[in-house]
Amino acid sequence: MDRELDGAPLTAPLLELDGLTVAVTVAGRSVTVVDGLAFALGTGETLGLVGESGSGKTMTALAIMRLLPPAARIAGGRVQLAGEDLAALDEGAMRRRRGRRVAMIFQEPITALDPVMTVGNQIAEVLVAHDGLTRRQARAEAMALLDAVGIALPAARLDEYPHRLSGGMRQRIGIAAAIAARPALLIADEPTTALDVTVQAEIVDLLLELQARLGMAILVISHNLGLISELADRIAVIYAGRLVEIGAATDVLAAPAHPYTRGLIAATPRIGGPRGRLATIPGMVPGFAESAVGCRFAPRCTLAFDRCRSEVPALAAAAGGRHAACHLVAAEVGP
Amino acid sequence: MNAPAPLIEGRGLTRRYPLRSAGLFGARIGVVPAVTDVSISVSPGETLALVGESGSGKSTLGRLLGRLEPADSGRLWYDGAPAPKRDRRLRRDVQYVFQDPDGSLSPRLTAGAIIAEPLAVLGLSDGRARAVRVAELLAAVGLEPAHAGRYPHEFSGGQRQRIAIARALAPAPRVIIADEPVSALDVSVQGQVLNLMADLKARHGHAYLLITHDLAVVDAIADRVAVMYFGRLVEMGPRDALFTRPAHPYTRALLDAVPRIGAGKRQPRRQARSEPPSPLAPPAGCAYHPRCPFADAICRREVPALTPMASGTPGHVRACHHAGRWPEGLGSGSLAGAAP
Repeated sequence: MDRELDGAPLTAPLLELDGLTVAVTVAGRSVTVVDGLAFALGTGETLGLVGESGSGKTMTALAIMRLLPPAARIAGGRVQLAGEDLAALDEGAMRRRRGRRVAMIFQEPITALDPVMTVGNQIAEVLVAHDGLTRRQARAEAMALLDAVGIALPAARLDEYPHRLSGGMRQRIGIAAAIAARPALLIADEPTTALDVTVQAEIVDLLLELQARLGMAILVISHNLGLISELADRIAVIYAGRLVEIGAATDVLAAPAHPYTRGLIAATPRIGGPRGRLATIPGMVPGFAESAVGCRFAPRCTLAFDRCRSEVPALAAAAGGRHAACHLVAAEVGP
Repeated sequence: MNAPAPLIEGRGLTRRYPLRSAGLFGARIGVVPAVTDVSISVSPGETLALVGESGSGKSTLGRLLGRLEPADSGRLWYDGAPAPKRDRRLRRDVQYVFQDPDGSLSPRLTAGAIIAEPLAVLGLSDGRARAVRVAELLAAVGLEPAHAGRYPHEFSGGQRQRIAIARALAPAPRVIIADEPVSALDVSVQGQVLNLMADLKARHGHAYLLITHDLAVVDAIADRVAVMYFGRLVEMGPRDALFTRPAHPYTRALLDAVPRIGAGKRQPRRQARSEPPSPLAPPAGCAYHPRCPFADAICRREVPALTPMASGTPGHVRACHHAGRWPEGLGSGSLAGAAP
């Protein structure tokens, strides 16, 4: 099949999720929160994973990192990173991959940074662990990293504690620690959600600049279509734990194929957009406890018909090289 | 000009918070100015958006305008006269909706009791009349009468925000001050709540003071916009004028920073110095000068006054020493008008 039509990355795949399934135990019952997720991310490419609360986007990130909370587990599928299934590694082996192969930044970097450790030591720790540098070498390297992420007077910042710094600066330090061991893949989970809009713009610039310089792939995860639009080459939209659409960012945003993607884009207010009444999607994001027969978006979909309520739609090629999991899309393009 | 008389008017409002060193009984080590010398009014039936980033003082100003907390100096006028210290009318006529309905709805009260609370406190009606009013209010915000008996945790975030709105509507207020009312909600639900707010206003005629960081929401629903930076108003005017001809460099920077969906991958911008000033060491003169590309000696020395634009839309004011001198067509003004 033609690559473009395959919903596949344009570069050699670095990360391939193959049927990733994550289950969480709630009140003694196992609930599926990520349901057979499959997509690929190319070397040096940025994929934006878009979803609302409860879509499973953060669980996906934590599953790739093997940092799921105790109640959650990978219940199926593979997480191939450079040909190696991370889901099958033991904890010791995974620890050696974290930082060097794949690293992550979070919405509130303070949760990732150790509050009782100075900025310099947080970063130096990564370097000592992965590169076997001496403390002195690591400190010099940490200073270079702070400079690289745009922190003024890096020498003075090395001995500060994270809580003394602004949110924007903390996120820069989170990024410095994440890229310290030069990972091939950086996962950014809502990296700007806690930040003011002007600071958000700077973090976007920084990520773009670092990617151009270091060539790392980025999996950026957010509910914010604006952020995704600024960073991503391709976009994957998930709803209630399932992939509903994937394709080139410009195509998905300009001509979304799945009714949920369409609704989400229409509902996002934008400057210069329509005024007065805002477009909405009726109903609300489903809880995981709710039964999942058929398409999970069907209860909110104005186009839903009988088949949508009984049969899960498979991902099908849509016009313009996108793929969408919708019976209507399949009917339009299919035989 | 025969603009309607303002409903609420703050004149020279100033509020400072004591700053304490770390620890439970930390010593007072200074004061942080939250709001400095702000004059602003809300007219009947309008939607005035108050925008700014964290620490700009917008939430504090919202609390001062409904007297949830007192100003250190300045006067609050209500309905054309100075508002007395304990003004029952103000307590009834100005109601609040906050960002986080989880935190502002008591978990131990039913939705019905939450909605009836302001009625009881204000002595507005007896028990039976209250129950009828609660049912009316639930219907008005799109909930069922049966919801009255449920507790907040039994509702979704969007439904909880509907309950908060019903509570605010209960005493038939003339102004609702809504502080980030949809920021905690999913995008697909945000529009439902904003549309509800618009419908209720069309029916009841109250005004909104909408406090938000989201300029796209402001563009969609506000009549007028006030921009705050570091405790002061830096620009205020009709929505169209402010979005298409922003007259303060900070307003331009804000508009410029808003992501444009579908515009393609971002080209790196010219690097701006975005760190806001420290409240412990407020800059002299214009607080925006350390970040401003146009700043010069006078900006570092004198606080600019809010003044009308020479050739501007009536009511469009900005506080900038150089507003007339830098090219007006430059920056995000042109972007704001271009729909993708």
